[in-house]
Amino acid sequence: MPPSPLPDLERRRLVLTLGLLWGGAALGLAVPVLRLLAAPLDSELMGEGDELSVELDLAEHPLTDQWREVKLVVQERRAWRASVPKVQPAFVRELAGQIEVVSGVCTHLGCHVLLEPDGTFHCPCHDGKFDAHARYASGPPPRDLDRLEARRTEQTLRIRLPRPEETA
Amino acid sequence: MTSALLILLLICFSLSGLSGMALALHYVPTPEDAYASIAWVQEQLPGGVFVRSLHVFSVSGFIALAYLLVLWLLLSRAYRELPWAIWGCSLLLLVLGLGSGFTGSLLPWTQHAYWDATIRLGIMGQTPVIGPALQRIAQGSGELGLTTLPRYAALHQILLPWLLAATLIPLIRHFLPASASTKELLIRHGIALAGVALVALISLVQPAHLGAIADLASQYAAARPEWWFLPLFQLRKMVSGPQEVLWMLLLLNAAGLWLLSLPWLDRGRWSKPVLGITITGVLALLVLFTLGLGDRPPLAGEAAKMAETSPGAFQVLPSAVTADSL
Repeated sequence: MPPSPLPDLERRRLVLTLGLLWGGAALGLAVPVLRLLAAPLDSELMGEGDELSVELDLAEHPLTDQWREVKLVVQERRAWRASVPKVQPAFVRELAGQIEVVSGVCTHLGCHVLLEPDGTFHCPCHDGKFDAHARYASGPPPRDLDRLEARRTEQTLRIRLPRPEETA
Repeated sequence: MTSALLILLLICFSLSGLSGMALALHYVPTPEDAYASIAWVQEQLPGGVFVRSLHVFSVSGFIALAYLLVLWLLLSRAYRELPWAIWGCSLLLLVLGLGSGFTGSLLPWTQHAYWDATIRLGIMGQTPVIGPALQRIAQGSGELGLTTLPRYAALHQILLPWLLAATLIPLIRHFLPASASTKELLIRHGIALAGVALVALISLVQPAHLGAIADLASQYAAARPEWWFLPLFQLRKMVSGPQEVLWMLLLLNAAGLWLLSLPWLDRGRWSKPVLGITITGVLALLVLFTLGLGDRPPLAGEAAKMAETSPGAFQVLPSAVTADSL
């Protein structure tokens, strides 16, 4: 190693300057790269800010006091195009003038529940059970089936699907 | 000179690796998604244009520097003193750099890249005997499309970067010795920082265009290769004829062999004629390059149109739910 021609103080100042310059360059490059990495945190950008709702034609789907399954085909915008359609069950009934819509997605781990002949719900994945009012009955699910917001007009029923982060 | 070129090559390599990794987070190598995913990054993501420009310009810079390195070693006759492997590595660096540029330019599936690749693969297919098989391997099937993009992406993102790194390392060890004086280290850092600043500045001031999406139905007469292939393009126009591919192959292989064996050829009493041939070759390359730059596409209007990003490249349709009763 040849002896440094520069005095110690000057050498230290030099190293500091170079360090600052490289640090600045690294920061300037890292910020845009990290923004690309963190794009999924902006749900609006990924298409997850769009409201998901569906209009049921009541002439086609007459309501009774028995649960009736409706398959909801969800196709979201995902970043630059429409995602692969996802089918999600929901159950609808009208009991004493009250319209009820519950999600058919099990509150345990997201399997699709089945409507039993006796009007109760059964999740085949881990044997979770819900009663005829979609309330938790037995098994691992932590809570009742999720109720979906629904608004009725003359001919239609508008059902709003909650975002995953809204259901807890 | 060589150490400055090597430092800048290393900077371009690092910048393209960093920006390439960031682009790969969103890029999808299928004809349906390739263009839309990159257009989305470029137009919707904050910082997307900058990162893609960084990638385009650092790759371009890398190829330019690799050309310069070979030219410098050639014209200064440095190959006579270099270990043969180091001379070979600098030639290989240029070949691998051109390969990276070519495979990468197809990835966004633009009109320009599609027709350029169609022509290039067509030429490959005319290679005597093994041509059709080569073309099928390069395309992944009988046509340029779904089966092609994953291959190009794999070569561009995985194989070529590793080979480039493996080629750069011996060059750096040879031309940039670790034991350097303080002054020399300062100069190296200065060159490197200036390189980073320059590529970043160009990306900010003159961001890269994406161009129009590939339209397989309309032949694109304004298709021209990227600048780094211009000499080849001009050469092919000159030797056109039934045996053009054969002549091109012979010429390229002869040039490659000539360069690789130069350290032995350029010796003793043969030095003068050998040097003459080499210099003629370099001059011919420069002339072809200049001709290529001056050879504007016949349809300038179409070329300008193709330089614009296709509107509605990605669907920003709202999400939808439909009901399907049982």
